[in-house]
Parts: sequence; C-alpha cells; structure tokens
Amino acid sequence: MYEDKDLVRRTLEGEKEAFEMIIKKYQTPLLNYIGRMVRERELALDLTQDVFIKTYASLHTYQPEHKFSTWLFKIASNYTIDYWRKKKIDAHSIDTSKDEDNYRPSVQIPANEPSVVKKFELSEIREKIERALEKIQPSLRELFVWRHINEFSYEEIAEIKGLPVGTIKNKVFQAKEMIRKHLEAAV
Amino acid sequence: MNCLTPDQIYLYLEKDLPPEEMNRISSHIASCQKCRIGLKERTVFMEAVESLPLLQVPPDFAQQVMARIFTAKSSVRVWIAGLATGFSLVIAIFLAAFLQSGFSLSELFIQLNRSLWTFISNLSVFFVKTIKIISLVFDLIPKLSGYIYTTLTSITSVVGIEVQVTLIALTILMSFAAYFGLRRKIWTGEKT
Repeated sequence: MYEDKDLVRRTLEGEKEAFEMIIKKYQTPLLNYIGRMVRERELALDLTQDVFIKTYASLHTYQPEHKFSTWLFKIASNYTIDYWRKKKIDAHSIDTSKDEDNYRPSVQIPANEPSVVKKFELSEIREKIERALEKIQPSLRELFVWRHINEFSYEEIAEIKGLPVGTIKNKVFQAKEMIRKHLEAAV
Repeated sequence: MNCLTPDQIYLYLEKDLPPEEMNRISSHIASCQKCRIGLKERTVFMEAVESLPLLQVPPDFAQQVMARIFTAKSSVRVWIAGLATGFSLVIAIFLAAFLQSGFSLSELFIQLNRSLWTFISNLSVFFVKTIKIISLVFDLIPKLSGYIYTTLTSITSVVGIEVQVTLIALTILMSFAAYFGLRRKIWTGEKT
C-alpha cells in the first residue's frame, strides 16, 4: 500500500494513476461523511466528486507535514459549508449551535432514563440513530460522523477543525447524548 | 465517588482514562445500579453506532471523477496550445521576414505597419462593397418576384391554356439547351 504523501508527490509529477489511487482510497469515507451531512445520496455523490476535483486543483498547496486525510476532510467540510451557504441553508449552524451552549458535561446521568436497550433490537436502534442524526445540529453531526463513521481520532478531528482536543471530545459526547435523547423520546 | 456523568461513561467505554480512574469507575459501577444501567444503555448504543452501515460508492466512481478532471484540463490545454502555436507562428514569420529582407528592425516594423494598414483599408473597402451588394440583392429580390408574378398573371389572363402549355414547354427546353450549352463550353473548352 502506498503512502498518501507518495501518491500526492507522484500525482504532482504528472502520474494520473496516483490520483486515481487516492480517489479509490478515500471515496467511501468521503461519501459517508458528505452523505450523512446532506442526507441525499445523489447530491452526496456529486459533492464528493466536486471535493476530489477541488482537491486535485489545490494539491500543490498540500503541506506534507500534515496528514493528507485531515487536509482532504478539511476541504470537504469547507465545501459542504459553502454549498449550504449557496443554497441559503443555515450554514452558520455548522459552526455554532444554541444546543451546544446548553450542554453541561458535568451533570450526572438521571435516575430514570428510559431504556432504549429493553425496547428496541440493535437493528432498530441503528435505524433510529440514522434518523436522529438528521435532527441534531450539523456542527455536532459532523464531529460525530468523523469520530464514529470515519473513525478519526480526537486529535485528527481537532486538527481538521483547529480546536482543542478537549473541546472536540465534549462536542462528540454531546452529539451522542443528543442522539440518545431522540432515541429515548421514541420509547 | 459521585455518580457518573455521560462524558465519564464514554471515556470509560473508550478506555480513554488513566488506569487509577478506570479502576475507580469500575468499582463505582459494581456498587451503583443507576450507573450500571447508564453504562449498559450507552454500551449498546455505542455498539449500534459502531455498526452503522456504510454508504457504497458506484463501481465506476473513480473513473467518473478522473474523466471530469482530465476532460476539463485537456480542453484548457487545447486552447493554450492553440494560442501558443498561433503566437509562435507570427513570431516565426516576423523573424523570417527580418532575416530575408535585409531591413533593420525599425524599418521592418514600419514596413509591416504599412502593409497591415493597407491590408486593413482594402479589407474594409471590400466589406463595405459586399454589404452594399447584399443589401441591393435583398432590395431587388422582392421587386423582381413582383414583376414576374404580374407578367405571368397578365399572360395567363390573355392567352389560352394550349398556348400557356406551349410557352412553358418552350421555356423549359430553352433553359435545358442553355444549361447544357454552357456546361459544354465551360468543361470542354469548346469554341462556338
């Protein structure tokens, strides 16, 4: 398996196949990120293509001291925000959220939480998670997807967003608790 | 130890705590039913999260992206190559003229300027004349068709049907004769 940095170097030297290898490596992670953000398969496929084209055009600006994957997902994140801005969708909500301000990580778990485990099968929980994802703020959804679908480390997410690792952890936990609240509401 | 917060439970599940903190939480969970239930709920939740299905990419996705990148790039390249070739050709002609003519560079520029100016003035005269001819033709066509129509109407009102047929046949015959005669003259060079 080739290193990303080698593939980038070879692409810049004019080897088309090297960029095709980059696409094949990242097409599924990128589609799963963008797909979960825009919730429409065809649109997600178009945006994923656009992100790769944009990446190819700005490949000469990539600095090898950074991880290629985090650089690529930063482009994807900015592109998704731009898309929402153009469509006049509330792009602001991807950066900040009212719900985030209300979250208190130090609050203990309540005594009588409705039991999702007793009520639903695992497959049903999965379906409900997918639906709940649509209802949480894009800024939290993005971090949740990166952590649990793209399997980025908190450090990598912090690098993409340019935020402290602790902040990222809090926001990911907050996203999970918000999704759980939607699940509990269905019990 | 106080009861756990959701964040502590998630950190515990991810084993993202120092060993002594992990042990303290394990002991607390063993003795606290509320936190045990809380942990169980989040364990199953995380199990579902970790097994969410992945969206699949079409098999030809990479080829589609490559085609989009390199089609756009090559069309730009064709334009750049065309412009570069044209520019190089102009420079080459200019250099050849400079070497062949024996003029100095300033003289060559003056000559070139004059030739260009003459060419442009001739071309503009040609354009003006062409436009005049076209506008004349456009003026004449409706008038000419009007005359033909009036003539034909008057003939048909004066002469009988037999004479009309004879006249049409004669016209067709004469047109054929004129056409073939002309063609023979042009293609074989035959003198009459």
